[in-house]
Amino acid sequence: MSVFIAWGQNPKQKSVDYYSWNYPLVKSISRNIGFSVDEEPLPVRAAIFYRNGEEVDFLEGRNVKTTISSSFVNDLDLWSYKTVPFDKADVRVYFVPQPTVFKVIGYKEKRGVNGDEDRYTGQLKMLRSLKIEVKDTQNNMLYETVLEDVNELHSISAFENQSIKTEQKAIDLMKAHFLENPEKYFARAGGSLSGPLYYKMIVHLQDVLDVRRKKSTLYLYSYNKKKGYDFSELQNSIDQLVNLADIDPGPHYQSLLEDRLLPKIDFWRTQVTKYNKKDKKERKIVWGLLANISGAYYALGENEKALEVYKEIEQLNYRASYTYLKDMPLEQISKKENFFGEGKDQTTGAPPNFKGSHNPSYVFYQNTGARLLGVNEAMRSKADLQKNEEKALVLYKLLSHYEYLAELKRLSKKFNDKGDVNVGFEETDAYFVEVFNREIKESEEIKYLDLSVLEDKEKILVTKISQELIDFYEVYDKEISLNKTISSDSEELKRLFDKRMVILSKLFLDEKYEKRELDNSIVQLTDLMLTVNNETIRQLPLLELLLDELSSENKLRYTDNPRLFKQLFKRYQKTYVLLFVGETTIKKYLHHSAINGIKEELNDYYRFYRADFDEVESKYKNLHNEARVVKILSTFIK
Amino acid sequence: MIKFKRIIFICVVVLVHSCGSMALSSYEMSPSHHEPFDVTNNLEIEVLLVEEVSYDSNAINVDYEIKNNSNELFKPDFGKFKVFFSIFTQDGREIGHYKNLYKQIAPNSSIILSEKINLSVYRYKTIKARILVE
Repeated sequence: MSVFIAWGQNPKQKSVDYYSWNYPLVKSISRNIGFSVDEEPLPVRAAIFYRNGEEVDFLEGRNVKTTISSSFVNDLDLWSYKTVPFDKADVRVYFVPQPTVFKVIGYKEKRGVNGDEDRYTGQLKMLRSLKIEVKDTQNNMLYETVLEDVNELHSISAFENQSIKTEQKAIDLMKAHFLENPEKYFARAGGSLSGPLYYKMIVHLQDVLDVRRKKSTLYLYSYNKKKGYDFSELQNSIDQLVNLADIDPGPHYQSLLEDRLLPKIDFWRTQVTKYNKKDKKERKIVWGLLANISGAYYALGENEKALEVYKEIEQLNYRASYTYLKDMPLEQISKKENFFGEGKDQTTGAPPNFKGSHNPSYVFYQNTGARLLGVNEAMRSKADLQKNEEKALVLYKLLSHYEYLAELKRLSKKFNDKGDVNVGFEETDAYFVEVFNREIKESEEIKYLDLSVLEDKEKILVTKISQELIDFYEVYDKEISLNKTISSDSEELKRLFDKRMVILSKLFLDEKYEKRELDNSIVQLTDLMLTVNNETIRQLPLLELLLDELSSENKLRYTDNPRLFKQLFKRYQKTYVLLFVGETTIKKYLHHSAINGIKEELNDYYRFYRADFDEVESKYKNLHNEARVVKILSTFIK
Repeated sequence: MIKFKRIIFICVVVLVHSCGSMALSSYEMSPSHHEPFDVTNNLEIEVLLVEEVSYDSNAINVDYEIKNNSNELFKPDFGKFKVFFSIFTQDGREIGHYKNLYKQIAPNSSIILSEKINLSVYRYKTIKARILVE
């Protein structure tokens, strides 16, 4: 019984999460930081690691590349540094992945009834490591470290239903297992850095580089009910402090923390006076209250005050081993002095200047090997990038109309019946004709494209294509419009002319030949302008134009003609699949950082691809964005 | 009916054949065709007058002269020679326009042609013209 009473008087520890300041190791020489990732393919090896330290390689795999997704700058989200293009950075962080090693070891453990029997387990572990170097512009090393992650892949603890008695046997068994299918394991080396090593990298760099708030724990003490004492208020004061880490640790965090903690400190201070420090039982209560006050000051960043309170705690002569109350503030003080210099405190209330503002496209990739597009675009001059975008715009306009008109003409058979007539149509779908008329009018814009950014040959080709394209489809446009109802004489006259023109074109022009010529010109032009030129990439502009047609409010409407809408929507879906799903995907020509850069743009395309016809009008309005398609296409411009 | 079609077919074959032989004979008869006409040195193009056509849509009317400086007759093959206009607009845009050239030009003389070019919403500033050979 007495044990229970004594237990009841003891302060109960409770933890509360909050954000404390992190004072980094590396002193900041500038606020501009740049990141470089080395993507050099590295050899993979398998080796035996003996207990005596000996190391024997037994198999080497092909070279593999470890990549780090450029979105790591968003995960890292530094507060005190701004991410800039690598060549403009004063602080430069180099990520150099190290070769992956598959370790075969014989792990020794004591078992048996008396723990005197040596048993061995064969283990296969994969060791991945990443070297991080922080340098200044003169290449002076500011900080360096190698982070490692060991992942156990397989273990063998028995052979023929018996435990393994020697290290060599355990190793031999594991080696044999590995050699059965080494490719299976080697395939796990390399690839995009993820999992524990990735998170280690993030947390480590934040600790080493960044003045920021990071999640910490504040320990508070409370008491159970006890006869003769009323702890309910004290208990309440602690229960109220559960959510200190729920608030966003932004610029107002310090004042919010003060609002919550300062009243508590005052309250605990008044409580201290109620108890007798000399009394053996009440001393414990005083200790708990003072520990709370000291901890709260520490959480507020007022380390000196926390230490002053600790002096009072020391005098109580209770729980002398709880030195964390002294050690933690002292450590913070020394870290802070190391970073800012003595006596200077620049953090309390300091705003997180660059939080949430980092641009992944500034990450610089070295040794990317295979000719992938879109890598290190940020290092190119702005004028250069803009020129590419202007060229991409010309190509987008031209190709989108070229593909869309062809698609409409293909669909025309489903909506208009030729019958037995030689000129014109027996029956036409009024809505389809309206759509075709509108598209012909809109496609006129390709006649007035700005050619100033193009090369000489390209200018000529663009002009030739735009004139021929419009001439080619105009005749067809006239032909399907012949059935339109007519209200005036001038319209009647126009129709007569149109009919004559259709007849003449049919007589003198070979449609198939003209189309073939047009197709050839398109291939010639795209060969000149694009680094990668194939059927797939040429469909990208159509995807955007279809998105415009299907989602913009003043264009196609589902309710006006569900059949036509469905046909074009299906075409959108097919084009999407061709471009971004499966074998033909254009992503295979792009570096992963470039794909990361257009992730949001692709997401819009994807959302629409997954939409239902009938929902389109209500849920997916006005998704057209010319800048998006220009951005993607410009990556492919020569 | 089949018989009729066959007759037409035979007629066409005979016609094509005779045309081919005619072309071949004329080719053999005129040795000057062995050397193609040197366009870059002998043909010269100059824009004479540009007028804004205001009564219609926003367009310009371009009068241009093509000179044949050689002693040979310039006889363009169909679809081989084009006149390419670069129109520079007031907002810095360059618009292209493309025209087939099929007129013959006598030796040491010139012809004056006219072309209407629509400019949509853009305002004309200057123009350049040149001859292209495909």
